[in-house]
Amino acid sequence: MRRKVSTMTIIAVVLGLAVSTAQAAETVTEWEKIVNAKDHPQNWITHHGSLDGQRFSRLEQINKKNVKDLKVAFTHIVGGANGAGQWEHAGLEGTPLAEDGYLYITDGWGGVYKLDVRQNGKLVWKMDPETDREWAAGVTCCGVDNRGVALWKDKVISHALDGRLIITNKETGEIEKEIPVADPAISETLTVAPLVIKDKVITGVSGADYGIRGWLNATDLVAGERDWRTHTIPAPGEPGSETWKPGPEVHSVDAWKHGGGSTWVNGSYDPELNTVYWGVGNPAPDWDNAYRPGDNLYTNSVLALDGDTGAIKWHFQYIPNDPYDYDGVNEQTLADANVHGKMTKVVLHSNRNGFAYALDRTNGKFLWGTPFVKKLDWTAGLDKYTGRPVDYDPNSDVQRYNPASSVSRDQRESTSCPGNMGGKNWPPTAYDPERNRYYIPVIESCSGHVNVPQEKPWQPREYFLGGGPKMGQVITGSVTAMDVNSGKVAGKYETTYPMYGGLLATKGGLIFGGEPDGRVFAIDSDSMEELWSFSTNTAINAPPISFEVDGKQYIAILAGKGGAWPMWFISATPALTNMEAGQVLFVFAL
Amino acid sequence: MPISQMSTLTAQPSLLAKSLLAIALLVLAVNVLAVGPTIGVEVPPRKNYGLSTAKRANCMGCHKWHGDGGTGYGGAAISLRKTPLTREQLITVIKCGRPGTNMPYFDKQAYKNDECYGMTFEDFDGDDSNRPLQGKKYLNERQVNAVANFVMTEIQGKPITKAYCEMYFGGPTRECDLIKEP
Repeated sequence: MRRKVSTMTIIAVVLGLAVSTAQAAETVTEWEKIVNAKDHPQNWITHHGSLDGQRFSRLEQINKKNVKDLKVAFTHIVGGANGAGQWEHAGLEGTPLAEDGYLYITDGWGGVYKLDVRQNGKLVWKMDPETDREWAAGVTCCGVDNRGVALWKDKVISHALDGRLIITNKETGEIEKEIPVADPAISETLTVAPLVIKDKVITGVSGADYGIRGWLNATDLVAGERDWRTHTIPAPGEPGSETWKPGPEVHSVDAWKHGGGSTWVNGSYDPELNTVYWGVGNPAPDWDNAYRPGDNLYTNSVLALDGDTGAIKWHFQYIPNDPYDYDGVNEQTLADANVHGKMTKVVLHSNRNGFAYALDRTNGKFLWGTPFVKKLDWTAGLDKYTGRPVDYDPNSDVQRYNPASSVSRDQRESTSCPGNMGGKNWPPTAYDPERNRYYIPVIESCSGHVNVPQEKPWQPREYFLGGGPKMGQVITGSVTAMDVNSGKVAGKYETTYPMYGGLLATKGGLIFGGEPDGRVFAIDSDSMEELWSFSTNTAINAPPISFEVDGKQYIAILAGKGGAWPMWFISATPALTNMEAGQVLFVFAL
Repeated sequence: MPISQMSTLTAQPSLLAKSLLAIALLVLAVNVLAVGPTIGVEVPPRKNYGLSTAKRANCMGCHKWHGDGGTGYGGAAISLRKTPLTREQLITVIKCGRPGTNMPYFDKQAYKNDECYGMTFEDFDGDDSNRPLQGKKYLNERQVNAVANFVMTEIQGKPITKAYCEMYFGGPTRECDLIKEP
């Protein structure tokens, strides 16, 4: 019998197809959408909100006038809190991504969660990477952490601490491919968020404190295999290798093989220049610079790399032959901004050493460098032409800078300001292009250093530090605003505790951030006065984002004690000793 | 019997001493190594209270899981395997820390009276570099003793073994597979 198909059925099928096609289309993150993220302020689809790293939301429903009415819209309890090895618990340092009404968040072990905003954060799926926890946690210097995911077409791209790059189906949460990128057997781990560029994803590595040889790795997402890898420490014969000379120990002839130079903070990308900007971390052994005479390129530097090949176009080194465990790994913020009255393609950076830097990002030329901390004593300043510390001695292979503040084999203990945590650590800055202001989450600190000569050769999965930090002084924090045109500090919002979470700037004239005692706050982008705060009562170690769903603007932030400070630096914030670990996503709206 | 007298007893293994030692170990097992059962609820004994306490107090954050210390973000920690400290000295260092180093104090009353090296917090006013640092958690007498016992019985004077590693991690791990034993 021939079945009769009604007109209504046909309409329903067509409508259904149309709806499902529309839904499917919404979930595809094309490259053009990522490049033009500023045109889609309802979403936050890359780690820093946009490829330039500005962390500026163009939403203004929440603004100076009404932020006092901001309230919790919903929360979501995040899993993956259990520790392993030396770590009592994991933490939350991730930046959520928001796309078309869905949030993508991570836990410290690399678990990925898709949440439905329209259903008050209801879990759509969870991807558990089944991380080899003891193995990976045994060589993480600074907590069980993961800083977020990337979106690529209909996939979610993420990292697991044990070295895997994972491609997950965005709709189903099923793992489609796992690609080993880093190897914990030689102390390499992954905490960084992936950076998608076209059909590639760039991965940075952690492990300098264990003596890895750092790198940036590009994986071809279509082929599922490595495209290029650029080491941050040159091999003998490569440009820059002359900056690694043998020290007193016989085994230091191989210093470059274990020279550090991690890349664990997400970089930025300029599509017009096809250039990736990525910070490189400390040299190893951290506190024994006599082991590694020379400038130790490209540690403590920013690298500008070709987006297609990974070739280094130029570099700028903040501190040659670093004895402080200051770091160059922090994010690089790109802006087309007035600098000294001239429109410039600038790259901004806030270093652990307490200086904010502005460079011309077309060639690496130094424009200005200004202390953003209240106390800085490791050098008398930066050379106004080169940006090098004025205490750098070109006739010496082992630098002391201010000898009263640095350790050496002749002076085993010292105290410097800022301390080795910074200045500013990894929690990201925000840039407001309308105000041409750069906002820095600051650790106002001094702390001690200890030198222990690196007499033992490198061993896999063992610290390679040549000393360590020494705690003692109580430290505080601030949000410091820099005027990018003049390179001067424009204002400070003092905080009781060091800023271990990052910042968000919004078109509503607000700066959002959080403190390790759990307080989330909003301050006036101009006056730097506090306009709103809310106590989550669990530590904030992550940056906020903003997004919009169905015409409503939200602020989201992960709360969960993590990182290095609960383990080793709690004595610098004794009032936080009894803070419990807990993992919650907080989402606010008017 | 105070646990601190046990080392004297073990040095003179007479029948009386052995009997007393057995009683002491029983008391220790009840008071230190186990959590007493609640009526109607079966609570399994804690296998190694000293180890679990050491983990919670973050001892391994600096002395490492193997106890051999070395440099780290916690500073340059001594080797608990090579330390010559006596039991009493270990207890003092756990309770009072070592001012001027990253070794924190774990006794809630430390430096509030003069029982720690005859010093109080007031002695460190204006001296940030030597200020005693507070531990991650306070430990009571029972916990301090348990940690000292753990260090003395499982770590001090001993090589790093696979058995120790697996005890620390609670079972076989790849970390323990790396240990080469003669």
